[in-house]
Amino acid sequence: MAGLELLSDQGYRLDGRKATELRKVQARMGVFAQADGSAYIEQGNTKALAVVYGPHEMRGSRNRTLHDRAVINCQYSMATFSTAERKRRPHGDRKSTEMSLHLKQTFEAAVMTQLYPRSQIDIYVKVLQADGGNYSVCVNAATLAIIDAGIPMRDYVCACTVGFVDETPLADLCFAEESGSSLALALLPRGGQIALLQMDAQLHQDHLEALMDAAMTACKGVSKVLDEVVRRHLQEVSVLTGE
Amino acid sequence: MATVQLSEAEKVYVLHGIRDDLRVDGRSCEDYRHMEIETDVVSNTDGSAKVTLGHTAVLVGIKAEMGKPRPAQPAEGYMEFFVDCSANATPEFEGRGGEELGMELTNTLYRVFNNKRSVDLASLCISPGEHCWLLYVDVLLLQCDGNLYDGISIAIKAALFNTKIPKVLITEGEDGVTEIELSDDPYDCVRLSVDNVPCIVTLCKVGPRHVVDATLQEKACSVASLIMAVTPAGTCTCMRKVGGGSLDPESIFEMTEVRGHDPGAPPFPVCPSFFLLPPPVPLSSSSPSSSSSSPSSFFLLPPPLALPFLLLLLFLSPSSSSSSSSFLLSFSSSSSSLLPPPPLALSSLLFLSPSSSSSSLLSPLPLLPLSFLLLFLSPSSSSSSLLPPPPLPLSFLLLLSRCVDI
Repeated sequence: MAGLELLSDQGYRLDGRKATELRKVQARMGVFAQADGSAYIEQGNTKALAVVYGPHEMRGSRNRTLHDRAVINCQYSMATFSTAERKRRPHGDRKSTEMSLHLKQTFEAAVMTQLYPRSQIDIYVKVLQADGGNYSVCVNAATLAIIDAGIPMRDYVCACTVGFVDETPLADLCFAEESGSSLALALLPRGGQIALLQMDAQLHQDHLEALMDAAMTACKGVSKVLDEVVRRHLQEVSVLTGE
Repeated sequence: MATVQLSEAEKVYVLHGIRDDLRVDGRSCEDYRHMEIETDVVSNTDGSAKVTLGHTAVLVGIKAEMGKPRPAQPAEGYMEFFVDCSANATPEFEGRGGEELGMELTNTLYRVFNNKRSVDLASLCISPGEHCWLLYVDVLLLQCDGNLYDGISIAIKAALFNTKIPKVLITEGEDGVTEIELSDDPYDCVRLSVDNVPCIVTLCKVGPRHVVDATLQEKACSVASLIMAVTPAGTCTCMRKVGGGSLDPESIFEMTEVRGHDPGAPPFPVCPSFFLLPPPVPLSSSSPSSSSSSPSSFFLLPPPLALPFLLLLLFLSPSSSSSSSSFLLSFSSSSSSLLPPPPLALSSLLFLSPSSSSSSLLSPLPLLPLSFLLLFLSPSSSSSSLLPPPPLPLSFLLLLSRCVDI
């Protein structure tokens, strides 16, 4: 890390957070009327939108149909203006395809797909503004959208990106911090099950446990925030419908 | 295109409602839906805006990058458009599903905005022939419920209004090398003038009437629609007929005169004087003489674009070619001859304002047409059964003949 001090001597990060502190999360559910479920989330400066359609009949080729559970279909894309450097294509590049696959695997682990045989659930996420932890923010947004669509899940899927700087694990990385080592973890917090784990960095084995612990703690923090969002949303909706 | 399936009964319901000036959501034919405009929503961009129009939601981000001016216009910057029909809007757009619609929208946006009459492209020039700003205008469809063109144009206008271009200093080095210095202060920036930026108004022909701001349901009932890009000064920068059906010329005049017959009425509900942007002037204001039913307000062009310079291309379908062409010839010789005009229906219309491509294409012509109009006329048999087209109005033919004369 040339020239950029990610963690000050006093233990503060670039944006003034402590090492284990999350960014401010603001989320809203049910932002679009046409989709079955939708959610918008802001985590610091990263903003993402998730939309869920389904469960519905299989679309397109029917040979993907699974007779015992639903197919989860994901598309991850980034708005062309979301990054500092303009992107040429919103989706279809290698990174987006990989992200789509990861999302699919994550939600196959969480959604109770066996309840909807021979059907399909579409999850589309879009990053509107990218500032680190894109994947995690998208997972959190998609979780809220699935809850909004009323599709049963085993648990919230909470994701967080953590990094390792100066022997200290940092939670919820922003873009500047992400250039170092980073680990993305998606957790089903109640059972402590890991839905996705991905690390793209070189890290000594001894540090791995500390990093994983930090990631789990951060994910649990995220789950608390998401739970609050869902409860608040339900309260608002129930007031509006007069129940 | 995102579409909805409607049953016959639903279509009849929508059609009858529109006939009685009462639409499914309670609006009258010339009402827009509730509109919300939010600017400065994406901080990674130089300008951004989000517009929701009923259930239609559009997000526009503008990024300014430094580039080299096009050789044809060395003293102007330019704009690049991209419309992303994301799967968020409708699952039909997944993968490559939205590309066709995206391309159609993108091409229209180029026609509407990328000329110096709409946007002050000269102010984007840094040093002629060497450096200019190029604006990447990226449109993201978040949700589709009809009337995409209007929503997108308003969002682009708002985003351009919000765009802050950093100030640059050009210094001449000792050895003649120009150096470009960017200001350190992020607030030291230039704003674009949006005085002449057009807004698009889409008029959808549903049954015998036309509506503005059609929802997907209404669009499913409509024959075809007409999009017009109008600047606040009353210049029409682009006009296109879209959709599969055909329109008769008379209904096009009617559409262009929406609100034109009532000078006291507020301007178009579109761009409802949002923030500081000047509201567009109703079409008829630039030509008060045309307040009668004369269809000449169809060609509401500023003096340099006035009628005599219009080049008209007529393509007649082969089935009626013999009669129509002779009819045309006789018209050019004596404009007052009263041949029975064949009933014609407009099946496609394209009105272009001058752009680099069109002017270079036509430059060898002795009279450089400043704008041209393409009309594809078909005999009435192919037009919609909903509305038997009336004969071509005589005044329109006079207009045609004058164009053919030049």
